[in-house]
Amino acid sequence: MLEDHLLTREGIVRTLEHVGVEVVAAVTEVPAFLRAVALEAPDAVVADVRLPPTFTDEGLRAVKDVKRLYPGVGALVLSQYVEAEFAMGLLEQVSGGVGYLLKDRVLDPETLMDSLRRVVAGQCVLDPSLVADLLRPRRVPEPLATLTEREVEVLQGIAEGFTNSAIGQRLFISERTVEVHAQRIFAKLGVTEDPQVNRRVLAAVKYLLAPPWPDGPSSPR
Amino acid sequence: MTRSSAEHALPRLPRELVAASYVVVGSGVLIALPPLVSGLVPLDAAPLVQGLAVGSSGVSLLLVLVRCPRHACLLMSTALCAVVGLLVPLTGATALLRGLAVALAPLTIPLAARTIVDRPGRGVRLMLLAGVLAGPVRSLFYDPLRDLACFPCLPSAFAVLPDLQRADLLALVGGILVVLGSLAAAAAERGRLLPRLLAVLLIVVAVTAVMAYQQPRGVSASAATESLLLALAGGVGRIGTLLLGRRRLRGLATTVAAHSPVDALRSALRDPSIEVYYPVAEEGVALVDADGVATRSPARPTTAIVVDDQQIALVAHDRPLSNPLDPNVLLLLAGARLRALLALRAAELTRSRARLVARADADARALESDLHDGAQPHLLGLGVELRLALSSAAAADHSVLEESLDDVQECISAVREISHGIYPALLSRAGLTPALTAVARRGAIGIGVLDLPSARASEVVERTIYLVVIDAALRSAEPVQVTGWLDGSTFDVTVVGSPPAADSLLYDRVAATGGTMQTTTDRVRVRIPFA
Repeated sequence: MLEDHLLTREGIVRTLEHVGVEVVAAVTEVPAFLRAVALEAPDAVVADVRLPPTFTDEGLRAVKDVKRLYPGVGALVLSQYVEAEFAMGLLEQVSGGVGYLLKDRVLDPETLMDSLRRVVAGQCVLDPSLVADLLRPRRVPEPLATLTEREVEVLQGIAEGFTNSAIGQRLFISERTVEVHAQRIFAKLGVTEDPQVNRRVLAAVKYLLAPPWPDGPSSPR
Repeated sequence: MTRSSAEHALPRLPRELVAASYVVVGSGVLIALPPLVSGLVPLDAAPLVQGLAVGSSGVSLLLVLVRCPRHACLLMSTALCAVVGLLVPLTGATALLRGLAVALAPLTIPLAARTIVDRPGRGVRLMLLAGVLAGPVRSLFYDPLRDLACFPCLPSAFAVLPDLQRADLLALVGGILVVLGSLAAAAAERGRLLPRLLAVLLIVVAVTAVMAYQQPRGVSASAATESLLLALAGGVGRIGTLLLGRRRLRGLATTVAAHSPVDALRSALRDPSIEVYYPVAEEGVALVDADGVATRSPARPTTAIVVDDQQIALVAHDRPLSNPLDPNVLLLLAGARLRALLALRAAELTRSRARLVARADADARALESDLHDGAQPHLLGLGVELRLALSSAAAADHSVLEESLDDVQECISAVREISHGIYPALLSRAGLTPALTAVARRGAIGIGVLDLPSARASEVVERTIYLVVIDAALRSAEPVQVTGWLDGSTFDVTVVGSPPAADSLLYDRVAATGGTMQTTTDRVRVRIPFA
């Protein structure tokens, strides 16, 4: 676990231990973090984004390094702000087993635990607030408005990184129905569905992130 | 050197040449015409000289008429005075005509002088007055004792005294007045005394020659020759003076146009090594150069230029400065010092404004950082404590703890929103397009088109454009269109669809970064140096 701030670090460690996660190392700097990952071979890592020395995106880069060296390690990035641009960067450079959550989720041990389990299982996790932001109705008319309420719920699940069966459980519908919805959503939005999990999330986020203007610039990055 | 009117756009004839031409014309006509008409052509050189005088004078007069109409009017009135005053015989004419002749003839000289002097000053006016008063001066040249036929005409002529003694006295006074007036007129034209005096002398000689027409023909011939030679000499000398003066004027104009007292000093003192520095002690900087840039004192010999107890310049030179400086150069130096001072202050103002903006940004970021690293972890820690307490607390306490936990979470969200508004982390990390896209996505503003160059500008410039776009979009009911491009080293961004801003803070901020902000009814355009 990588977090430079004492109070936050203690809070996360205590929360994790409370839900039965063994924290093998809690460090404050990137080099110590990489060393600890090499020595302890953890199932998952949790990292803050803003860290010394520049307090910009050291944590993100450290997680990318870890995922490059140990693709099997689940990684959860915590940040005070979740920005779609950073989520995209993470999803594009990492093949799966990665999550991007608001720090506030520490106060919700079940979500934190669930997210950890999912990244360890190789899935992708995006913070619900980020997806909600992306799905928020915009002032400019767009294809998103043509989705039904249920389709929006399914798209939300896809963007947050859930599998079809998980989405079905959340919405109390069958996995087969979710598949039908997903196909219709991607057809309506004009996005090709990719069976690989993080590609699917990426496609959804990319679509949502792309500006609504039809002849505008390419999606920002 | 500027020309004040269209008339001045025509090439001008030297005034002395014009006046001399008139005089020669007058004398030539007076001397040459009567013998030619009467057919009594003598065998000496007089007719040749007279003919030459008439010819050359005629050409001169023609030139004057064609090229200087105002001058021609003056010449015409002078000629009228001469013809009426000098040609009307004092015998055999009506009393009125004789009186006119006596009164007008002395005006010939001052009018000729008026023709010479460009701007009539006090001297010329004095001469004209003297001419009016000096009616009797004619008797100085025209001695009635030599023309017995004149005696009877004197009492009947207007304003002519029959008393010869008094007439002589008045004539003397008038003559002195004329000469004094001429001198005053000459003095009024500073530095050109000699040609003026020559011209005056020429006129006097010429008029004398005309008067001498009454004398034997040999005398008039020699007088005419003198007139012609003097006229030629005066004209040539005057033309030379004018040409020299014009060249000097051209040189001065070039110096002034260059606005550089350094060049003026270098050429005037023939020392190309001259450099000028300006002391601006009150600004906390000892010396500045002409562009207002602070410099050190030169190691070479320097001379302080002091005007009214104030040191206006410091001249560094290799050759010794011996002569006192020309007042014009002092003026140039004083002006250059003021310009340098202004440049220094403007540069300092520009720097201080940029510092203020950078400082405000740094403060905003520090505040965001404080919230992020101070308040937020505390709240998070508190939340964790509450959550852990909740899991081990008795069921009765659950609702209170859960409420508190909700409060803490709301608090965290509020702090996040506030700190994000203070300084959007995405702007410095990812740039304008992602930051603006994120704001638009949150629904805070509407952006219909967003097309900005992906190149990263400095943080101050990006934040300025960010604030301008956000401000413009907030004031617009419809989604705005944001387009921008890099024009050389200038970031040019236009927001279409937004009414003009009411307050000037953003203008100030844009100006402080060295840019400009223009607003029309439906768009805002910002141009900022891309640095």
